[in-house]
Amino acid sequence: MQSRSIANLVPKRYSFIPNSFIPKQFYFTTVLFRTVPFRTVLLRSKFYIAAVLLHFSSIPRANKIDKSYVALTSSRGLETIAHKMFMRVSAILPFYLIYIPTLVYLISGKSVMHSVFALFYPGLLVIDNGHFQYNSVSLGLFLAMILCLFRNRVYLGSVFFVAALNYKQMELYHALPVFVFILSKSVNKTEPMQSLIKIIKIGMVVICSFILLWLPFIATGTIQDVLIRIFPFNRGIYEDKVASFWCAFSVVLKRLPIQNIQIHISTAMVLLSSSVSLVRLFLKPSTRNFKLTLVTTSLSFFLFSFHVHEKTILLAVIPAILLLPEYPEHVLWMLNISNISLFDLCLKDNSTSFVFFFFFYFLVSFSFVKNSGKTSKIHFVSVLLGFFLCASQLYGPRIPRFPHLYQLGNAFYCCIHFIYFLIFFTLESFRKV
Amino acid sequence: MWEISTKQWILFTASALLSFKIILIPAYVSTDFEVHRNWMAVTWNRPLAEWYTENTSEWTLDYPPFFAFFEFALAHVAHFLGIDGILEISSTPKFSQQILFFQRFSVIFMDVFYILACALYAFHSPKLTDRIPVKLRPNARQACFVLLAALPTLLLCDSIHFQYNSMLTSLFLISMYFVDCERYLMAALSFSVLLNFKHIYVYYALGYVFFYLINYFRFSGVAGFVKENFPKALLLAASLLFPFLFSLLPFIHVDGFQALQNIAIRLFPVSRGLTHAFWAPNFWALYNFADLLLYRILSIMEVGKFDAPTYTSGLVQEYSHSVLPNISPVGTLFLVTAVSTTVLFGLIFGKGKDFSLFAVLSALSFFYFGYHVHEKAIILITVPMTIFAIKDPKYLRHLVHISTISSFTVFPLIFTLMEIPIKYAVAIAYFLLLLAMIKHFTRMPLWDVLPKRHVIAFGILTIAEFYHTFIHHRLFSGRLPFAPLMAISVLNAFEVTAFFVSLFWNTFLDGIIETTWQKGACRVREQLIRDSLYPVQTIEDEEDVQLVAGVDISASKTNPDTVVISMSVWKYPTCEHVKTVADTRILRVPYIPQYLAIREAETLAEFVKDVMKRFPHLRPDVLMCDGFGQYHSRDCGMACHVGALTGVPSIGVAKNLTLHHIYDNVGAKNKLKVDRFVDNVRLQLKSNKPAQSYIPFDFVLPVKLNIIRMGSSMSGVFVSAGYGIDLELATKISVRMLQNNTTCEPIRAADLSSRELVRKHFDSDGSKKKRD
Repeated sequence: MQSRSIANLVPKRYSFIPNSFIPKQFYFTTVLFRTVPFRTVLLRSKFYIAAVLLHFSSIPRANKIDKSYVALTSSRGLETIAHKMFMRVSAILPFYLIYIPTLVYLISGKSVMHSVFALFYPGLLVIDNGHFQYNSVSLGLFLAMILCLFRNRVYLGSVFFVAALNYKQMELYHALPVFVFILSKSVNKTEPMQSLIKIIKIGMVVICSFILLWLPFIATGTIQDVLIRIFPFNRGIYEDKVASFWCAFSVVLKRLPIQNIQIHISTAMVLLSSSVSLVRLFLKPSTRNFKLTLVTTSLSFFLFSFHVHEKTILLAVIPAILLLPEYPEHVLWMLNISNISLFDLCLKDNSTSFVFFFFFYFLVSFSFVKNSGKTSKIHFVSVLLGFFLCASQLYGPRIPRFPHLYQLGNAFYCCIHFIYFLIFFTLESFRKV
Repeated sequence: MWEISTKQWILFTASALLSFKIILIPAYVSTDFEVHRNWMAVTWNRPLAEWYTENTSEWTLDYPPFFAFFEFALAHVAHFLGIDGILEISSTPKFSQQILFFQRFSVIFMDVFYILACALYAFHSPKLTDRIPVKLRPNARQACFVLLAALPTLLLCDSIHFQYNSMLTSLFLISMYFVDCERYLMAALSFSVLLNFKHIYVYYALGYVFFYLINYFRFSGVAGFVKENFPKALLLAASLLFPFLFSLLPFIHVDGFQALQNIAIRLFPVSRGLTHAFWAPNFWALYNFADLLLYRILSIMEVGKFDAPTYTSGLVQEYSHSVLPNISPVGTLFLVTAVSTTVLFGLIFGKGKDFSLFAVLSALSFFYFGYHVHEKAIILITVPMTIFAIKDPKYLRHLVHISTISSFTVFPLIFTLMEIPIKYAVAIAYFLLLLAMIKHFTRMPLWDVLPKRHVIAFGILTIAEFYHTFIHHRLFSGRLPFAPLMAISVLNAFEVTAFFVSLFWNTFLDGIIETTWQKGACRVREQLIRDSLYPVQTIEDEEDVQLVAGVDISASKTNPDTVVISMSVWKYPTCEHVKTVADTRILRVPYIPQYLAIREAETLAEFVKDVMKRFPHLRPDVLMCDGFGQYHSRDCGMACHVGALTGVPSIGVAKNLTLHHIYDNVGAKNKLKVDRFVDNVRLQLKSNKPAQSYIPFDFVLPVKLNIIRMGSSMSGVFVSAGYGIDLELATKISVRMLQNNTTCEPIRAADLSSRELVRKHFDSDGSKKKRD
């Protein structure tokens, strides 16, 4: 997957590591949101560049600390405590350096609680620090891009997006709305010539930064190898039991004769479901519409596209967090459902106690929504039912004929919710504010 | 910012803490984990009579009976859940995922009770916020709750190291709650229950004794004393003995008095050394260190022959000192009793001290001089100290000090690599939380609770800790493992000593010694001021003056120690407003009659200096203070002090005329003459404006005071020169700045702004401090 990250050189699943690193982050964030000045200080300094450099240089750093960490093949399964520590810290640092400052900056405004919910979102912590991935880097870069676009710094923004895209190809989920937003912003009907020049300029910036990032592989002529690793079309339409449309309705779908053209159908459905809000965004490129389209597009990718992981829901959730001030109830509902959809992953990683974390997050968020006046019982009941599904996955009676019944039930349940959120946010983009 | 209700505070804090603790389940556990498992097994498998004699495992039951009953109940729960593997007596530790989860969850479950106890105390104690300004009271309660619930020492000891301290602390909080409600019998009862859970809480006993002596018993007269208090004493004794009855009777019933002896042997093991394996930061750590130093020095100098010390081995054992005399348990007990009795006896005569202070001082004396003290026992100090500092914000810097030291003290408990970052993160997070919460309920600038000395101490400790964790084993590759631990322990011991001394000093501040000291210091300063020895940028001509600032101070009604200071800068001579700056401060020194300057001058001067540092362009040429300058019984009023301390020429502009020192000067016979003179001045000012626009108070010479305006009583505008300026110029400036109001514009603006802030932040109606 991450061809240039050191994660590729060591086994990806770190389920055996005691997940005691999340608490550190967790406890720290309890006070983070209260210390206000840090975010301006951090933002002013050019920490992005430093952090990116730091991360890309992690291979030499690992080399310096201990050569056995990065020895090809023989480092697989390496499990010394010092090495775990190194890996864990390398996943924590970008969280604080890139992800948190940008997110807090983007979301701060009316209520401190919004920042609290953004910082404490368990999904990212569980995936990055429990399961072990480096999502906070790509998501942080993505957020930095949004920040730049909101401030009309298009060139810098596109560089950030290229960086994010090249850090993790999953950022392609966001590519369409970003492209449409930039395009629509640049087009000026009265002066077609100038808008063309501007678009060409942006295109040049994007291409240049692409070439710069790929230079080592161009030089060694290994581009094709990289591409094959990045886009594994031969891996199947979904991995494990994920809350995507194809998996949730697989009981029905696998009886239909569509196996051969599935890839075309999935592409068509993605485009179809996201096109509505994309068109809307092109016609009215407001920041709210941009955020809404980011959510709907990534949700349609998550639901309908080829080869989806359960972790990919992060790509839909993170832009949704930005909508917290506008739609607190729906966003929090979506966050809670996404937590439930990640439960299966926790189960596989043998860290089921995270479900308590999810549950407390739900309690606090529901109490917050209830306090702000607007509340519906469906939210409460649906999330509670989700937790019930999790519990049944743990303690329900085993049925030998359907070994994956509960997993599939969970996936199906979450999938219905995600479809609802997709429709809801699509319709919202047509509502006048 | 955002309104959240009390229930939500509890829900949010509890959610955050509990999820954190649940995530910590797989973390490192110490031998205490097996200790508690073994106790569960012993109580489950053995009859009551053998609980305190069973010794298959080396981790024998050595807590009082209630704790044994608690383990017995847990064993029942485990049996009910079908985890019988946990209930096996074995000489070697037993460990499995099931056991881990069961034991961890038992702690987390008891933590829920702890959080509820914190909420009970923080949100319902009637005495918690008596000394907090009205509008900040809800904030103080929230702060108290969060700070108690998230105590890092408890978190590290319970959720990583593994113990049940939170449960026990919740009992103590309940007892403190009853004390605050003045339900003394219930308080005594819950304390006695606590003692039967863990005997270490005897640390608080003397605090209870002395507090009850003055608050529970009545001293009306010698004759009725016994008659009045005898029934009360009986009731108290009954409520204290009741829990003991429950805890000890079952054992006596099955095994007679032999059982009592067994329990006593287990509870008070004799074969332990003066200090624990890791020296708790108390007096004996310093004592051991001194002994070691002496031994090394004398051995090198070859003066006499001494045995090598064994207390640096890191084992729990009896040992003897090499050079200094040995200390016996009875000796330490005597020392503890002597010290705490002296301290607490002092408290009795101080007026209206809170119970939390009694508890702090009692626990501190035990911790500092006790025999074989564990480092974890520092929790016993931090819990009541947190409450005490919120009750009396003067002690907030002590709280920051001791809670940081306590984190450093428990760090060596957790030494596994994966948990090292967690312990640091917890400590740092709590430190920030503490500062944020202090800001939340006092609105003070934070450097006020972080004096330089403390920051330096924290820095040194951090370096020592860092060296111990990361550098020492690389440098010495396994040799001298105790050296960095000893360094940390000794450094901590120094800090605890400093804390003890400072607490003692501040508590008995309004005693005779302190007042005399302060008065003496003030007199010395006044002599220096009269001799013009302080540097000042003097003003000789009116044209030098471009900016004039007025400073004023307004106090909260509910706690006169919390004040708002305001400084208003105006252009001269055009009398245009430039800027008004205000901030909250806490006055630490009580008011001593005739010595107002002791209380206010330094704080005022510090504030002015702070403003000048922040806004260099606002540096005033003249400072106007609400109060007198050289017109004073010792020729040195508030304005002189402020002027000398800031280095800015100052004018005293008072609103009320005081005459008592004039009366004293001229004698009682001439009192009438003074009054007549004042009346005369008043008439003159009322009837027609005199040519000079002011009247000098020339009844006594030299003239120290000019009267610009005078109302019907003693109010008006009275100008006297402060520091670095003469009276004539001072009066000229004051007259210019007077405009048409009752007092000079800068002072009026400062006064209004400080009152406004008091009204906004503290209470609905700000009140002015009395002047001398």
